[in-house]
Amino acid sequence: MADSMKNVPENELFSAYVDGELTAAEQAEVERLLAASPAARQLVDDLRALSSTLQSLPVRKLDVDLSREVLRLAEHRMLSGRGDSDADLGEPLPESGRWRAFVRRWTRPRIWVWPAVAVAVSLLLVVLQPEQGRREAPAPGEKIVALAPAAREPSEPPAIGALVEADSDRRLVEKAGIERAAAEAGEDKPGPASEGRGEVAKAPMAKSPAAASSAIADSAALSAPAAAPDAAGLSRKARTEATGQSLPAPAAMAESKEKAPDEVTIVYCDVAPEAIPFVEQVLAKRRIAMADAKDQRARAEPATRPEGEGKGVRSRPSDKPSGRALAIDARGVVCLQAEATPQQLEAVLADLRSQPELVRSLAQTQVAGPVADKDWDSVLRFAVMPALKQKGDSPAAESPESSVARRATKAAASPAEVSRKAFPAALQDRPAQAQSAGGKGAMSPPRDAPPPEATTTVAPKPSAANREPTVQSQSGAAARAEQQARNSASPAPQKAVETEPAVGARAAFRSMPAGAALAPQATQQAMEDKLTREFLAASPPEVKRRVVFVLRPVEGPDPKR
Amino acid sequence: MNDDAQLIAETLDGKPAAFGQLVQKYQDRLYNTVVHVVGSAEDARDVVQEAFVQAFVKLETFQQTSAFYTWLYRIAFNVAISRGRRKRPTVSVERCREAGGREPADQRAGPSEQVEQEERCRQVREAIAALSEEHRAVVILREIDGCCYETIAEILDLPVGTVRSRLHRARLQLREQLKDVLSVDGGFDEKRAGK
Repeated sequence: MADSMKNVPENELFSAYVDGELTAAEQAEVERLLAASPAARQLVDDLRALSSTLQSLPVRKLDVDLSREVLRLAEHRMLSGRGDSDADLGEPLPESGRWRAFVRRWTRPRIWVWPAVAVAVSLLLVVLQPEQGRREAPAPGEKIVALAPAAREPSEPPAIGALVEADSDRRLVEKAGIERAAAEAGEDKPGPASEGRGEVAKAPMAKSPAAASSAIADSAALSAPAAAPDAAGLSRKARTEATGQSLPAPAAMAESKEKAPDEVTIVYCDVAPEAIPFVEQVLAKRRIAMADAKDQRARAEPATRPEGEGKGVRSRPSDKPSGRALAIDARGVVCLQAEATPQQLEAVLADLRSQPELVRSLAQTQVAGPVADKDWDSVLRFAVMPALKQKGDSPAAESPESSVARRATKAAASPAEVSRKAFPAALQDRPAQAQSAGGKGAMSPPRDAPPPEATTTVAPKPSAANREPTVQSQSGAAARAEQQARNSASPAPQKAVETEPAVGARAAFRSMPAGAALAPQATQQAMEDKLTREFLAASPPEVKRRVVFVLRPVEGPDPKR
Repeated sequence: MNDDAQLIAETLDGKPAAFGQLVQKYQDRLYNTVVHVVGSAEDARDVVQEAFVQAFVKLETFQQTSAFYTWLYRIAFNVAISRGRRKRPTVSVERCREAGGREPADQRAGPSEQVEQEERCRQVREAIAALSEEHRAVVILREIDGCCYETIAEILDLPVGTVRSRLHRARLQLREQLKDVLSVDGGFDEKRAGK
C-alpha cells in the first residue's frame, strides 16, 4: 500500500481503471488508493481528460472508395503470383498517386547506391586505363595482338576483377584491331612486318573478343619489357583482384604451391611470316592436342582452329589435332601451346626442320618443374623473352628483318645448321650450360643455347619447393661460375643414367651440349640424336608433356634462295 | 454468421464484390486509425489500400478466430511498420492536415472557437506523433479506435499486460505534453486549484 501510494504516477492500474480494464481485485485496490490519495485522484482526472481530448479529435475519412482499386490490384497481384508481396508502391497507382510514387521512388537515397557504385568503378577504370595503355602501348610499327587465351586454372572463378580486367583488355584488343586496320589501310607506310602480323592477328579478334581479351592479358605480360616493374606490378595487381591470390613475382615464384604439369619444353623458331599456319598444320598432322582442354576460356575461342573443327574439340581426347596460339607479343611472336608425347614432339621437330624456307631456325629449351597456368606469363616474360632478347633481336632496336634472320639467311641449308649459325655464341657457351645441366631444371637448350652474355635459368628449388620454378637472370660469367660450383656437388649425368634410367636419360639429354660443344658438328648432331632417342626410349610414350612453340616471324629472303 | 463472415464466405466463393463491401465498410475507420500511426494522409491511404489488397489475397488463410476487423488491423499495422522501416516516418501534423484538408469545423462554434479547436487538434496530433512507435500504436488503438486491451494485444501481438503498461506510459507522456490543452478543456489546473 505504501509503495502504491509512493509511486502513484507510475502505477498503471490507474490507467486501466480509467479504461475499465481491471479485475475486481484490482478495482478494489485502486479505489482504496483513490480514497486515500489526492495525487491518485488527480492522476485519474488527468487521464480521463486526456482520453476525452484524444477521443474528441475529428474523425478522418477517405474521400474515395478504395474497393474497386483494391480489387483491381488484388487481382493483378494474384495473377502475377506476388500474393505476399508488400511492394504496393510498385503496383500501378491511380493517376494522382503515380506521380507521387515516382517522385518518392527516385528521391530515395537507397536507389542511388548501385548507380553510385557503378560510377565509382567506371572512374576507377578511367584512372587505371591510361596506365595500362602506357604499359601495353606498342612501339611505332608494333602491334598488340592476341590469338587465344593462355591456359588458366580451370576452376578459377571469374571474379569482378577478372571482368574488369577482361573489359579493359577488350578495349586493348579493339585498339589493336583498329591499329591493325589502320596499318593495313595505310599501305603507303613501309612496314615489312605488318602483313604477316596482320594476318596472324586477324582471326581471333574478329571471332572472340572474350578469348582475345583473355589472351591479351597474357600477351601484355609477354610483351611488357622486363624493365617495367610498374607494369608487372599492375598486372599482378589486376590478377590479384581477379583470382583472389597474387600472381607471384618472378623471385617469389618458388613459393607458389600450385600444381601444374611437369616440365615444359619450349621450342623457339624463327619462321617466315607465312609459316605460322604451316606450324599449325604440322601440329594438326601430328595430332598434337591442346595442353589444357579444361580451360573454358580457351574453349570459348580456338584462335587457330582448323577449318571445320567443332568447338568441342578442346575437351576431347588428345587424338584431335589442334594447335593454338597461347599469346602473341608486340613483335608478333606467336606462342602455340600443346601437349605432346616425346615421339610426337620429335616428329613435329623433324617436320619443322624439313622446311628450312619456312622454319629458318629452331631452338629448344626446357623449363623444369611444373609451371602453373597462372605463372606462364612470368615464365615467358622472364625466361623466354630475355633469352631471345639476349640473342640480339630486341624489338626496339631491331627492324623486322632482324639480325637473327639476316644471319639465318647466310646459314647453311640444314635447319640445324641454320640454327647454329644463327646463334653461334650459344654454342660457345655450351660447356658451362652442360656442366649445370646435371642439376635438375637447368635450362638446357639441346640445339641452341642462350648467349654468353647472360643465361636465363628457370630452375626449381630442391626438396619440397622442387616443383616450383625459379627464374633468375645473371651474367654469363657469374652463371658459369655458379653452374660449375653446383656441378661439382652433383652426380655425373651418366651415373644417373645407370641408376635411374628415365630420369638419367633425361639428365643426359640435358647434359648433351657438354660433349657436343667439344665435338665436331656432325658428331655433335649424332650425339644429340642418340641421346634424344635414349631419352625418348626411357620415357613412357604415352606421357604427354607441355610444349610451347614460340614462333617469331622474321622477314627477309629465304635462306635457300 | 455475422455480416463479415458472410461477406468473407461470398468472397471465397468467387464473388469479389463482397470483399468490396468489406472495404467500404472498414476503409474509413481503418484510415482514421492509420493516419495517426503513419502521420501522413497520403501514406495512410497507401497503407490502407495495401492492407485490403493483402487481406483479399490472403483471405483463405483467415481462420475467423478473431474479428475480420482485428485481422485487417493487424495486416495494416504490419504494412505500416514495414513501410516505416523502409522510410522513416516523418510524422508531420502540418503535412497531415494539408493532405487531409482542414479539420471538420464545428458548426455551432464561432470563428475564434474554430481556430482554437484547430490549434488544439494540431497540438494533440503533434503530441501523438512525438510518441514512440510502440506507444503511439497502443494509444491510437485505444483512444482513437476504442479497442479494448484484448483486441489491442491481438492486433499488436502483445501480452495484455504489456498493452496496459505501454498505454499508461504513453498517457503520462501525453499528459505532460498537453498540459495547456487539457487545462483549457476543463483541465486539471482548475481542479488542482480547487484541491
